[in-house]
Parts: sequence; structure tokens; C-alpha cells
Amino acid sequence: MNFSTIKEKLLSAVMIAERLVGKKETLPVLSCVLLEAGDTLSVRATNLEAGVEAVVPGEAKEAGIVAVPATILSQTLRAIAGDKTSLRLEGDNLLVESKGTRTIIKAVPHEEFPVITAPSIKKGVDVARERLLAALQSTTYAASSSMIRPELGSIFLSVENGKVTCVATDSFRLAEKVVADASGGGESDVLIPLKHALELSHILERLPDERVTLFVEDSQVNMRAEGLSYVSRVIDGTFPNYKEIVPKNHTTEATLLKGDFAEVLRKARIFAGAEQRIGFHVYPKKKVFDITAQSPAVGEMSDSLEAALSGEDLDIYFHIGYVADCLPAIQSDSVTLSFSGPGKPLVVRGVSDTSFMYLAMPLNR
Amino acid sequence: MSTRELWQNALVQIELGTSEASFRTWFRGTDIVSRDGGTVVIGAPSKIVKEWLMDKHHKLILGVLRGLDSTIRNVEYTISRTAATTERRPEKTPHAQQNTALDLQALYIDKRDNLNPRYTFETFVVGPFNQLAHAAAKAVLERPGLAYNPLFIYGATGRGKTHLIQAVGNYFKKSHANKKVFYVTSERFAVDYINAVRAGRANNFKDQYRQYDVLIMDDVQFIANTEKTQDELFHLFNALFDNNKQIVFSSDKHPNTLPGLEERLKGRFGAGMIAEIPEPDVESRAAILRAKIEQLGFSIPDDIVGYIAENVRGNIRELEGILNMIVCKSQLKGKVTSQADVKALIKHNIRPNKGLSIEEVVRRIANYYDVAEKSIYEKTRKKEVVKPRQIIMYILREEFNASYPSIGEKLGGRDHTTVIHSCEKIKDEMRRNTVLEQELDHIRSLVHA
Repeated sequence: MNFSTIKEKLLSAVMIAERLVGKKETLPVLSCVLLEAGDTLSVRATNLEAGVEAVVPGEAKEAGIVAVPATILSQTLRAIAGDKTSLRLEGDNLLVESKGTRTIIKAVPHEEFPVITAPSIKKGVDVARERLLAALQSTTYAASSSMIRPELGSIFLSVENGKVTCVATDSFRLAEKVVADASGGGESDVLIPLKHALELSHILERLPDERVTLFVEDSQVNMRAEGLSYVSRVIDGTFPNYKEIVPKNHTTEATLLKGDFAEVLRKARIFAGAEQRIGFHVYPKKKVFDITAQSPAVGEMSDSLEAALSGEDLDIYFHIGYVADCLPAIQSDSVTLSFSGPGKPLVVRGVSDTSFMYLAMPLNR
Repeated sequence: MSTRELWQNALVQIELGTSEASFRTWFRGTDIVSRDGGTVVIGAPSKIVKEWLMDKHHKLILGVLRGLDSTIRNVEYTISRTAATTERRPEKTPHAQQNTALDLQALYIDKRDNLNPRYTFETFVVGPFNQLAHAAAKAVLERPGLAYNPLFIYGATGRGKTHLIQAVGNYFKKSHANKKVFYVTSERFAVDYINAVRAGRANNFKDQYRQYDVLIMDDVQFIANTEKTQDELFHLFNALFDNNKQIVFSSDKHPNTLPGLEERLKGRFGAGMIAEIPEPDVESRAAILRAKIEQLGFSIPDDIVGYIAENVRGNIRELEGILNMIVCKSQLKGKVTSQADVKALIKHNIRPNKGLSIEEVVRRIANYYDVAEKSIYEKTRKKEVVKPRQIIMYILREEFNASYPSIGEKLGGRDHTTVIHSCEKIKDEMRRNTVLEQELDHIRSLVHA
């Protein structure tokens, strides 16, 4: 093996791979990255549930393959100065050379390194990277952090008629984001465990590509970009037919500026106390929209907001996080809050933005 | 040896043949998903593990399994349906008790097979009334496609037909990962068929349904009078039946008495096993109530359960309705509902049994037998009149608890011994004559409607 490349390129590939390797793996090779030099250098890592392969361009003199512990390689590369780095084999071990530095990293037998499987379907869905990233970021926070109910600890990703839809719920709130400009691919849906969905969004954030391709299968989901491929296992489960719980009509509606709303919520959080409880008091006839919060330890607040109101009077209480969480996902300047009466979910949407929808359940009295 | 034991034993041997690290990495979370004769299917938690087992450990696994059971010829691999890595950590949502949750529970319907996971055998209450249907369903599970094919379950609304047939589907899905199960209502089937024909995809439709290993069709009575859909069902039935695929039907009536259905379909419905779910008896109703109460996580005193079971008849959905109302009421009031409250609830929400005049009963039954109402009261002893008259007496006695002398008096001044004789005669005949029994069932539903 003899391969030279620019250090930054190699380091960024290794850093993406490093995030995936298992921390306390029983099999030593699973805490390694596999470097395979051919015409280009392929950097691979997996924790058996998810896997990544990054391709680094460079000057290839001799093919070869080696597995080295991921953390050691990344720390080494970070510490090396210089631009051009060459990778060679010294005996069985990896020799990393750069201007004036020479490092030998002890390798691990690579025969046991798992095969990261390629998708078995030919046609994927072509989607704008930023849109897909937005869809993940608009929904991941709403998933449950526990895997006790696997379908709630996952992101539901569905592909249909050129639309990619991401949905997540922890049964107290639900977020849905639709990406409309995807092309190709049939109809399919999968449940991606939250952990792997977050990893996918982390990778998407760092890619330079305009568009990426998604391959959605029964057993795994695969995202491919120029020079990078990420695959994650999916959960076999049924995502609730959430469209049924979205209220069709509303009894009270308020439209207000997102900035104002976020500002008041930020203040309300201070006074919401350990219960994190805030009250919405909507009186359309009197043209009043108040947000209140109180806690015995801190004090209390009551702020009025300017809003366009309609419908019936309503007092309703929410967990502040469940309302505030969705605001970063809303692009438009104003938001619409649609209430359906006490004990019924609140629907939050951006004005003139149909791609995002958020549901929050109120607190019991 | 069960598949579980088989795999446990195999794992012990595999562990000896591989390094500890590799064993723990690759064999943790694996299981035998199903076994079909000489082929064993092993489930792995992810695709990566599956491919690894296939590439690197296939020889070892096959060798070990064969050593344990010489009939095993082949090992296949699949990705396990059950999530193998479920963590057992309590949910850390402090507001879980306070915050109302979205009602997702009712919405878990698998799009691939339309089955609702709520309906399982574990939640199905077996009583004397549905024992036969339950046993037939169990037999089907043991030898799918061979024991009773098709299985036809019928009974009036709210008796648990859908629960039972969906439980069959859910059980298959769990025990045979590679078998395709599909649940469809006949109405849905008809709509799908019409849409497929309209879109020119009739062949797709045929292929789609012919691929299933277990087809469950609910409420077949709804495709009555639909010529083309019945044709399609007939061909589908033959295709599945010839390949020993299990078919399960449900309907509200016995296939022979289903109106608007072609004879050849009726014949095929009756070819396997027909099981009725009749009206539940009091004990079963009480058992069903107790099971529901447990599911709701609520407690209701036994005497109230007994009272509801005795007074709410027939429809299990009505039982559920009453129970939900009681639970809701007592949560609202914060105390356990008293028997008097329950009585009031039942009175307001259940269609009354009584309040039907004797004349009305006579009229309905005379109508059913197509005899003149007047002739029942007359002294005539024509055969066509005698039988309905006796049945009227029997029904008045059994269903409405009228006294013998009063029945006699109302029906044209007969002696009470005549009435006693009539009732005994019908009872006796019912034991020997199943047709009469069915007639009485219909009459009962007529007078209670």
C-alpha cells in the first residue's frame, strides 16, 4: 500500500468514520477504520447497525488494505502539521508520513472487518441535501429518546410521489416535514432509529454536495453522495397512522409573529418552574392573547401578545418545551396556532408554509 | 425439540468453535425465526450481521444444526422482525403523568397486511359460546392450509369475529416471519378490484392477492350482489386453495343463508370448517368484562360486573360501551360507581328488552312464518298454525318470563297445561332439530330488534 493525499481531506473522512465506531466493542476490529487503497482511498467504519464509507482522492502508487483504531488515527492526523500525507505499510502496521513526521500505528487484523452492504435496489430517490437535512432537523427533536417503544424512538421516513416525508413523535408531540422536490424512487417507508438519524443529519451537514440519493429498503436505508455513502439499519415496526390524530377542524385560531412568540416563550421559561407549565389564554372576542407562567420559587408573569384571533375563548396549559421546540423548524415569519378545545392537540404551522406541521398535547389540569 | 432449545444448544457448540469476541459480536441477538421441514431460518438483528453469518459462519452453523437434528438440510438467513436490541430503561419523561398523550394506540395498523396488533389470542376471551370457533382457529394455526381450509366464522355483530380472525393473522405474522399475511374487508376488496379494473391494472390486482400465504377476508356478506367481484373472489379462492394457502372468512350469517351470493361461492365457503359464534352466555359476558376491566387498569366490584353481565345482552360492543361509561363516570366523580348508578346507566343506554306487548310478539312471529296473525288466537289445529303458536308460547315463556296461565289466556283462552306441553315440545324438538334451533335464533333477534 502506498497512497498520498491532502491531510485535511483524509482527516475529515476519518472524523466522520470515527463517530461511528463502537466505543466498547468486544471485537477489536469494530473500533477500527478500514483503509483500502486502490485508485482512491476508501475509509470505512461500522458498528454493525450503521456504516459509512468515505472516498478520499489522492495519488495511488500501490494498492493495499489495513485496519487501525479510529481514535488513534484521527488523533495522529490532527497532530500532524503539513499538507501532504502518505500512507504506507511497514510490515503489517500503518506508516503515516508527512513533512518531517513519521508515525507507525499498530494495525489490527482486518479479515474480520464486516462488509458494509450496498443497496439491493438500483433506483434511489434524488433529493436536495439541504432539504433532506432540514427535514431531519425539523423532526428529530420530537422523537422519544428511549427505545422502549422502537417506533417512537425512530424517525419515520417515507418516500412517495417525489415527496420525502419525515415524521417523529414521542406520543406527547409530533413533528412532520415534507420535502417536495425529490425525484425518482417508488413508494416505501422505513423507521430509522433516532441515533442513526442524528448521525445522518450530522453527515449531511458536512457534505458539500448539492443533491444526494436515498435508497430506502425493507432492511436498511442508504444515503449516497459524491464520495460518501452512509447506511443504517431500520426498525421493523409500524409507525402509527398519525394523520388520523391531526384535528381536521379547529375551534380557536391565533396567528402571530414568530419572533414575538419566541421572545415571550423565552421569558416564560424562566418562570415556568420545575413543572415547565405555561398557560395560553385566548379570548378572541376581547382580542386578548396572554401567555402566563408561574412558580412558587421564582414568581409569575403574564404577557400579552399581538395576534389575529378567531373562534372560541380558551384557557389551555402546555409543557413549555413541547411548544418552544418547534419554532426553529419554522421558516416563515408568522406562525398559526390552531386549538381544538381543552384536552385536544394544538397544531402549529408556519403561515403559508405547508411543508411543516407540529402537534403538541396540552397538560392535564 | 423446540426451535428455541435447538438454537440454544447450537449456540453452545458454536461458542466452542469461535473466539469469544467474535461469538459475542455476531451471535448476540440471533434466533431461529421459523422452521419449515428441513429449512431453518435464522434471524439476525441487522443486514451487516446477516451477510456476515452467511459468508463466514454458514458452514459452522449448518454443521452444528445438522449434528443436533439430522433432518435439517438448509439454513437461510433473514433480518429479524423483532427488534433484538431493546433497551430496558424506564422512560425519563417527568411530565408523562401530567401531559395528555396523543392517542396513538388505536392507530397501529400495519400497512403491509392491514392487521391491527391489538387483536391477539392473549386478549381473546374464550367461553363456552365461542369455544368451537376458537378451537377451529387454533387448529388452523397448527396446520395452515391443511386443517380447515377455508375457515368460515359467522355470528351477529359484536361477537368477536374480527378479533378472532385478526388474531389468526397476527399469530401467523409472529410465528412465520417469511409468510405473507393479508387482512382485508370484502368491501375494501371490492373497491380495490373496481379501481384496478378502471385503471387497467386488473392483472396486477390478481398477482397481488395471489402472493399471500394467508388471506383473511372480513364481512364477506358485503360483496352480495356484486357479480364481477364475486367472480374475482371465486378465482382467487381457487388459486389460493389449490396451493394450500390458508383462507379465513367471516360473515354475519351462515354461508347458505347469505343472500345475493353465487351458489359456487357458497359451496366453497362451506368446504372447510364453518364455526358460529353465538350469543355469549352470562358467565362469558362476565369473563369478557373482567378482561376488559383489567386492560383498562381499573377495578369494579364483582357484584356490579355480575349485574352488567346479566342485563346487557348479546353484543360485546355494547358491553364495552357500558364499561367505558362507568369508567369515565367514576373517574369524573373520583369514586367507584354504585350499583344504582350502573342500573340507571344501563336503563338509559341499552335498548329495552321488555315493553314489547304479547300482540307485537305474536305479530312478528306470525309474520316470520307467514301465517295470518288472527289464526294464532283461533282454535284451529292446522299444522301450519300449530307450530308458530307453540313457538310463540315458548318464546314468551323463555324470553319474556310470562307465566303459563297468562300466556294461555292471551292466546285465545287456552289452558296452562297446553302451554306447558307446547314449551316442552319445542325444547325437546330443538335438541334433535338444528334447523329449528336456527329458526329460533332468528326469531329471537326479531323480537329483540
